[in-house]
Amino acid sequence: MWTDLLIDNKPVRAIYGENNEPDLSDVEMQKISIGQYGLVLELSGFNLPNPLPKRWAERGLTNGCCALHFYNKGETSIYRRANLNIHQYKHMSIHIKEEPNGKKSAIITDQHDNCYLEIEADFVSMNKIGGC
Amino acid sequence: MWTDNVKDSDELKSYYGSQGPDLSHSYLWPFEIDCHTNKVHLYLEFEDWPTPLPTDWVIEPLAFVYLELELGGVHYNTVNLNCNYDQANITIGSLSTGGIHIVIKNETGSLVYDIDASTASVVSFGYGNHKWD
Repeated sequence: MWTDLLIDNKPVRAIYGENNEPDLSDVEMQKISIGQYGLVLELSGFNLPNPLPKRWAERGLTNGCCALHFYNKGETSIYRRANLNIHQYKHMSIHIKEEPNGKKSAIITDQHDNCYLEIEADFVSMNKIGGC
Repeated sequence: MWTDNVKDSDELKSYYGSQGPDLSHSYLWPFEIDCHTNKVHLYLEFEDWPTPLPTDWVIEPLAFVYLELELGGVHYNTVNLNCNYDQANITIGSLSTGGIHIVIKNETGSLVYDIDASTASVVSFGYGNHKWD
């Protein structure tokens, strides 16, 4: 499970359970922020937890949203390749895995399997998780 | 001049003229892409102080000038996200089509971003001081 790769997966486990997690195979890309702190992806459009938390149900939320933060111990590379001219934000797929060297990589592709962005980092954390 | 192709740049031009400030030693934080609108937000801090200095601006350690730009219709000619973002060298030029061309290099002179924007506007501009943080 990709959430096993998070620095702290307790919040997402508390919401989705031990054997379920957000499915990032068809998401909406909301925002990408890049800076000295690393790279933050803001996503939405993935599956809600089942059962739905009561407060989420009361608010009529229809899909999940989160922010993933990729960062390094030092000033090493985080970027592999990008084609940011793919002006597509819906139906994007994010595949996160651990590399043999222990780094965490993420490849973001569109529905035609074109690479939008590929990155790797020492750490990945989930800054926020919720419904929207 | 690039500032002539930037909306809401009157205050910036009144301080620096149409050539704009020297952004060769800038702190870039962050480079933010809105995936829905294809707009990019650039927030820059730099220390090219205008002459004359506005009366309420004080040149002292931790003081800076900030400029936030919103770029629309962005085309990425070159992207290399690996950068020491607190030592960015930024050059902005104008496009004959009315937009602007931005080149961002890192502290060793390597190209990080080369982008064209068909529209640009100043979101915020002014004086700041990190001692207020």
